[in-house]
Parts: sequence; C-alpha cells; structure tokens
Amino acid sequence: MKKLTLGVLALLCFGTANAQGIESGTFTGNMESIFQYLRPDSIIDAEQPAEKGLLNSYMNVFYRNGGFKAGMRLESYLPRILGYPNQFDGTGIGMRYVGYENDFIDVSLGSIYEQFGSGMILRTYEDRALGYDNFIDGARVIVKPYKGVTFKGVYGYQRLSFQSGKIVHADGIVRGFDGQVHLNSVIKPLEGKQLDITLGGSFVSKFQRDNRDDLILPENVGSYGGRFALRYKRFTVDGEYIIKEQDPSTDNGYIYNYGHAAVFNFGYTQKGLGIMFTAKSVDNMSYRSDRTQVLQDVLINYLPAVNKVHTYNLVSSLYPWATQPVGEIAYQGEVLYKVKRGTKLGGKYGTSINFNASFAMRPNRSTDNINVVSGLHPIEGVETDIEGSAYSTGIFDHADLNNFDYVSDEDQEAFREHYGRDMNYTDHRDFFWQDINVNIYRKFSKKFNLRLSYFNIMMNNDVNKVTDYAHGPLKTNIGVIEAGYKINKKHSLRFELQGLFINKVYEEYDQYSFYTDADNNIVVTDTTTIGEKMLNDKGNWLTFLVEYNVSPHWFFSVMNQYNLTNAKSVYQLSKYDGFGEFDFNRSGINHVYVSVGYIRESTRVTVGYGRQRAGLFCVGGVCRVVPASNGLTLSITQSF
Amino acid sequence: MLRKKFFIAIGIVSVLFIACDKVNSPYPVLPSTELDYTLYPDGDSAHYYANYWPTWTVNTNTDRNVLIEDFTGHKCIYCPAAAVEAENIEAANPGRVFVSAVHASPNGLGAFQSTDATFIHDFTCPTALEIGQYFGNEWSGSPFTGNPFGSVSRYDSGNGFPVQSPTSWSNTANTLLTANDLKVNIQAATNFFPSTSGLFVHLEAEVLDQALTNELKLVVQLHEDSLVAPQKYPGGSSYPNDINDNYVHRDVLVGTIDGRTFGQTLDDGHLDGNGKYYFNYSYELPAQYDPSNMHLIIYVRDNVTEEIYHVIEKHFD
Repeated sequence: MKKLTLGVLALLCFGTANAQGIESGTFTGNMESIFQYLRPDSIIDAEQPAEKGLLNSYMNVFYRNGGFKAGMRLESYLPRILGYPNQFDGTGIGMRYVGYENDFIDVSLGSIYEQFGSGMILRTYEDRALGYDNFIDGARVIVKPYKGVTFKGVYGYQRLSFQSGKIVHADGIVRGFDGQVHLNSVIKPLEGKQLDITLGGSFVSKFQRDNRDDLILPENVGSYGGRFALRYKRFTVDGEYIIKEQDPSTDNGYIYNYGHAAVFNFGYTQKGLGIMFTAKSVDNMSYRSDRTQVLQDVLINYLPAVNKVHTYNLVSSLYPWATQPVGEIAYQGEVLYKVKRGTKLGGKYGTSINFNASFAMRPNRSTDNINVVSGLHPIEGVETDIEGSAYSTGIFDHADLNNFDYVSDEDQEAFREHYGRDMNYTDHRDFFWQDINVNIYRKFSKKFNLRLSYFNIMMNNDVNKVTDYAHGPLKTNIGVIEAGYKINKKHSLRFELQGLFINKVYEEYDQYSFYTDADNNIVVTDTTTIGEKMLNDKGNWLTFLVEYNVSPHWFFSVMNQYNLTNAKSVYQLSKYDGFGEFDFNRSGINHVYVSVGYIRESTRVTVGYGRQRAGLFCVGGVCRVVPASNGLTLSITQSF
Repeated sequence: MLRKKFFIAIGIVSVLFIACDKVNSPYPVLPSTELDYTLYPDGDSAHYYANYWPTWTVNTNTDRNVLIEDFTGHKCIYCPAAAVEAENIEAANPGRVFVSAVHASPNGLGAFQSTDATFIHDFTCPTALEIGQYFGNEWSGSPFTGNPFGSVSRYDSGNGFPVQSPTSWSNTANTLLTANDLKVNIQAATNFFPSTSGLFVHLEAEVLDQALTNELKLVVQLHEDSLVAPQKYPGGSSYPNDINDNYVHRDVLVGTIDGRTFGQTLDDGHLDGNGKYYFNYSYELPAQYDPSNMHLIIYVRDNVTEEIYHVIEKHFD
C-alpha cells in the first residue's frame, strides 16, 4: 500500500515536472472544504461537539499522458462534520491508482471504481455527500478484443473505512468477471438495423474465512446473472437478473437461502411525451465482502431505487425511502407530457405535466415447504430447516396485502373504532412504500414561471426506520408551490412554499397522581389512562424559501422550516424530559437558515447560518441520518 | 477465430477458479457442553461430581410464581413510582413475585438510561437493551413506547401484547397468582467458590402441562441488588433538582450467565429418561460484583407467546 502510494506520488511529481516545462500530460481535479461551527440548541435537540468546529476536506487530482493515467485523493476529517459516517477520520490519501489504456486494453492498479450492468451484482462508487466509498483496492483489466465486445475483470479488497488517515480494508476479497456484446456490431446482418441489441453476463465471487464455530459457512460466495438491452425506434426495454448463492450474514440472520435481484425497465419517448415503467424484485440480496458488516459498509452490489428522487426539502428528507437489500418488490411508472404551446392549456410557452407513482412491498416468504427444526439455528428468533433455508419465494412474488390474519379481531375492531374505517393495504405490515405525485410547470412569460406539485407518500417506519416516535405507516400529503421571477438579465428571484400534513394516530398514555411523603417516598394516589388522537411523529410542517440570484457571482437565500409540533413526538419528548404534563399545544418551532454564496469561475464559496432539523439524506435509495444542528457552515469548492 | 477461443477460455477458467461453495448441512455437530472446572478450586471434574453435583429430589412446588419486569431508567422521573408499585406487589406476595429492573428504553439505550457527569453509573447491559428493543421498537405496534413500562410474566392481559403499563401490574399479578396455573416447574442448585469467583448452576425443568406445544426456553439472569446511585426523582423541597443522590436501585438486571438473552431450548439434547430437562452452567462472577448482593432469576418462557410460565429466584448459597 505504502509503495503504491509513493509510486503514485512520484508519478504525479514527474507529471508535474513535465506539465510545467514540457508539452504533454494534463492535470484535472477538484477540491472541497466544509467547515462547521455548531452551537447547542435544546429546542431542536442539537448538540455541540466537544471540538465546536468540524472540518471535512478533500482534493482529487487526476493526471493523463497519452495512455497513461494516475489519480489520487487526499482526504481530511478534523473531525468529520455532523452526521457524516464514523468511517472517516484523520488526514491522508484515501484513493490512488495508476493505469494504462489503449483501444485494446485498459489496466488499472489501485483504487478501482467499477460497475457491471446495472450494478446489482457489482458496483463500487463514491458519493462524497453521502459519505459512501466502497472501491476495490486491487487490479482491473478491461479488454476490447473486437468492436462491440468488452470483457472486464476485477480483483481486490474493498475499502471499509478511513481511520487515522489510512484506508482500512474489509475482511473478504472480491473477484469479478463481466462480458458484454453489442450484437449489431458483431453480427453483420444486424448492422444498421433499427433493432439494437446488447447482451451481457457477470460473475462475482467473494472469499471470507469461516469465522464461526456454530455454523459451517460458505467461504466462497458466488453471484451470477445476465442482462439485455433492446432499442427499437422510440421504445427501449432492458432487464437484468442476478442470482446469489448461499450467503449467510448479519443482514439475513445467517440463513442459507439463495438470493435474487431482477430489474426490468420499459421506456417510450416521442416529442412532448415520455412514458417509463420499472419493476424490481429483490430477495436476500445484501452482498458484502464482510458478512458481519451492516448499514452501508462494504456492499459489493447496488440495488437501484425504484422511486422518484425528490428535491423539495419536506419531500426528500423527512420520510424518504431507502432500498431494502434484504427484500422488496417495487414498481414505478411515470408519464411526462408537454401540452403544446399556443393552445389554451399550453399557453404561450407550453405546459409540462409529470405524473409519477411508485410502490414497494415485502416479498412473499412461504414456510409451507420448509421443514423447520426448532432450536437448530444459533441466531435467536431465526428458524430454518436442516439445510439452513428459512423460507421459499419467487421472482415478483409479493405478500398478500389483503390478508390481515396477523391482526387479532379485537385489534381490528379497535382500529375501526379509532379511525372510522377498516384496515386497508396502506396499513399492512408488509406494505413498505407508496409515492403518488404530480407536478405541473408553466412558463407564463419571459419573466415568470410557476410549478405546482402534490405528493401523497406512505412510508412504513417499521421497515425503514426514520423516527423513534412512530410505528408502522407514516402517511403524508405534501403540497409545493414554486415560482420564479426574472427581474432583469442579472437579477432573479425564486420562491418555494411547502406544506406537509401527516396522519393522526390513536395513543394511550398513563397519567400519575402522586405526592412525596415526609420520608421522601413516592405515594401514587391515582392513575388514569388517557387515549386520544394526535398527529403522528413530529406533526405538520411548513417550509418557506426565497432565493435571490445576482448573476453571475452572488446568490442569497433564506429558508424557514416551521414545525407545528402538535404531535406524538411532544408526548414522547415529554416522557423523556420528565415533564409532568404534556403540552400538546406547544407553539411551533422555527428552523431558519440563511445562506450566501459567491461564485467566480470554478470557485464557489458558500456561508450558511441557522437551524437545520434532523432528517435523512438519501442518494439513489442509499441514506444517512443527519442530526439536528444549529450553527455556521462554510463551504469552498474549486475545480481545475 | 483463435483469438475468440482464447478470450472465451480465459473467461471460463476465471469463473471456475473463483467458483462458489455449496453447504448442504450448515450445522456442525457440537461437542456436549462442558463446564469450566478451572473455576472449581478443590480439584477436577470428578472431584466436583463426587462432592458437589446435586442429587435431585422430587420438586414439591405447586405454585406458579410471577416475574415483574420494570423497564426503567435512572433519568426517568416517573420510574421510581413504577418501582414502588413493583416492590409493593413483591412485598405483598413473598416468595411468589420477583422483580427485574430492566434499564432500557424501547430503542435499547435511550435518554433515560444514558450516563453523564451526575448519573455516572451505567445500569444498562446488553441483555437489558436487547429485551428493551425486542419488546419496544422491534415489536410491531408495541405499546412500550417509553419508560416506565414493563411486563408481568410477559402475560397478555388483554391488550394484545406481552408488555403493559405499570398501572396494570397489580391486577395482572393478582390474576396469575389467583389462577395459580403451574405449567412448568423449576428447581435449582448452585455452588459458589469465592477464591475463583466460580459459580456452578444446575437446573431441572419439568413441563407439567402437556398442552404446551410451543418451543420453551430456559433463561438464567444475573441481578444485582441495592445499589445506591442518583435517580431522577420528583422531590419537591427535598430534592430541588429532582435528583435523589441516594436512591436505592433494586434488582438490577446485569446480564445472563450463558450470554443468551432469550435462553436455551428445552430440547431433546437436555431431556432425561425421566421426562425432565437438565441444564448445567459454570460462570465466573466479574470482580466488580459483591456476591452477597447478587442473585439469579431463572424462568421458562414460551418462544412464541413470550409468556413466562414459572420463575424462581436463587441466591449464591
């Protein structure tokens, strides 16, 4: 490792010498530095770290000279900013590689970012904002023996964390092989045809020693699959199917079931109209190079999110959906239609209408054909047959959402009494996620545009836990009004008004009447159980945002997220704080955040100050928790 | 053509080279549990067997005992009231009701259980946190959403859950004690050797109700009693900061002696020809504990309904 790092440094220095004085070689790169100074704020439960100041920095440097390439990233966490994963600590070289490529071969040694197919069998990538980096430290060879034919091979250890400025590897080694053929390039009769066909196949294996005495673990765990992509005129269809062999792990409770992942996409586009449909079936597909790791650590594969990526604050960070590698069946459909300009509906500039819906649910896991042997499995609560299988399931075989046999008659009756209706699929424990949204965008004049959006989102907090203050489904209706106004060539304004309205839940709590006697003993005189409906979790929210841009250098924004707090969390917090009475009508909490930015060429400086509420930050279905904070954030980015 | 064959061959060889393992039988044959006789200071296993191994007599107990689990925390101001409630029930039914103070929130370690400069002593343990999480956040729809809460032999008294509010403890305990339906009997023998801090525990469990078809598990918990440490306390003029610095923490769960929070199965491996189940344990008591303040809570639970069918308390004799 040390030798490789020194080698990269030497090559970069050599390149620098060349670049300064001679003709060849190009450097590119970027850097970012984020500094936070945080203050304690008991109202939003924000804490001040002992250091008070936090700093994340990194710089990427890439060098190319003919076929030769090299790159490295210096990272620094002194310490890491609030909410950033604890795998990041210290200052040092976090990524480095050297390589050579021409039309026939591409060889790289060092930190490898690679993806086979859609990534469901292997994808290593980095997301700075998320704090995610799972590169393979080893070797990669890409060979293109014919036009339209590509073979790839990777071999190495994954990056687990970055501690005291050094890369820490995962326990297991990863080996992968992938091949892809573009048939229209290889088969002469297909050349130039409108039907475009690409086929591919992958095989990945990981090795990790059996480190348990109570189980015989497979040390080499294989995964394999195939894919296709067709394009014909305005239609596209593609799909991939991956099978993973026995991979007992912490994620799946050390069961020996095979796993599968399948994704199919259909698309149709023409001028003014786009239609997209995606279906995904996943079961037992958490695939890591260390079977004991959890959360986002050393995942070999990536399971794409089948739901729309939202950007509005209340939609994206309060109740977002994270992909469930242990199992989910998900569907998404989207229609984009542009009403022609010059019509009554379209107006002078045309009107865009976007409708999107996505759903996710648990796979059906049948134990009918599983001869469970009680007490056999060493993990508490996991039951398997003699071969270690816990259930059987199939592709796109989802749970029966009309079957509420797991809820007693008494509980169903209580539900009817409290909510005035029968339980439906959105209340089912196996229904994970629903997002139905529509947005309409219209430009009214050269100066003014308006976007109206509505979101109906249901997220099962028992499956994708985002809050301690709720069980089961969190159901929200969210409305957003966004308007843009161009004052003149250089000055423009943008407004957002967002409102999130959550469902009510019935809660019971005990109220004690007591006094302390002369000996300081507590004497309980009476207890009363009180039941009432209250807003779920943290209740309703409003967000107001105004942005003022002075092109090309300055931007200013003020945002306030206002929590109405007449909610279940107040009851829970009252318990935790030890308050004697629950004040459900406690006034709302403002989260005001002001930011100013300056941009000059490829440099951007941003200063922000204020409160930021706790929430989740997600990219592509991968999420991290961001705690509440109050303070100053200074960020500088630069690319070259 | 030769080039094509070459690359295909490389691909096939690569895949075969790193192929995967298939495990047909994942469960190794484990050696029978052996006790750690280094904890026996006077000799070897044969000596222990000759001098200390219990000779079981017929278990004459006919009463079903009750365990109150008090989910509590030292920063929870309402918790002392619940603890008083549990102790009152225990005092009113000597030898029939036992208390286990489980320092845990529905999320395991919560704000009530956390330590700081005032609340220095960490009353939590992995067992307690696991129990709290299991009956709290991990149990769909559980009413255990904050402290104080608890269970009475994890008996479902009508709310559909094995846990219940302290306000119901007394009624539920009375229901169970009055019914006195003994379904499983337990007896225990212990030998403690101070020079090695070695504890040997021998247990006999007998299923009396043959209608019990669910899997049953035997749990052996370790408790520490009468610890004096700060507790959030509604004090009025006596405790102006609502903190009682000299609060006596009773019956604190500190772990299990075999590392199994939810116990060992009453299975064929422990079944004797007389139809009773036998379990033996050896355990080294950590140095921070005073043996005279320690006791065991031993119970049999239903692995499906979670109900505790019988519980006994055993001190280090």
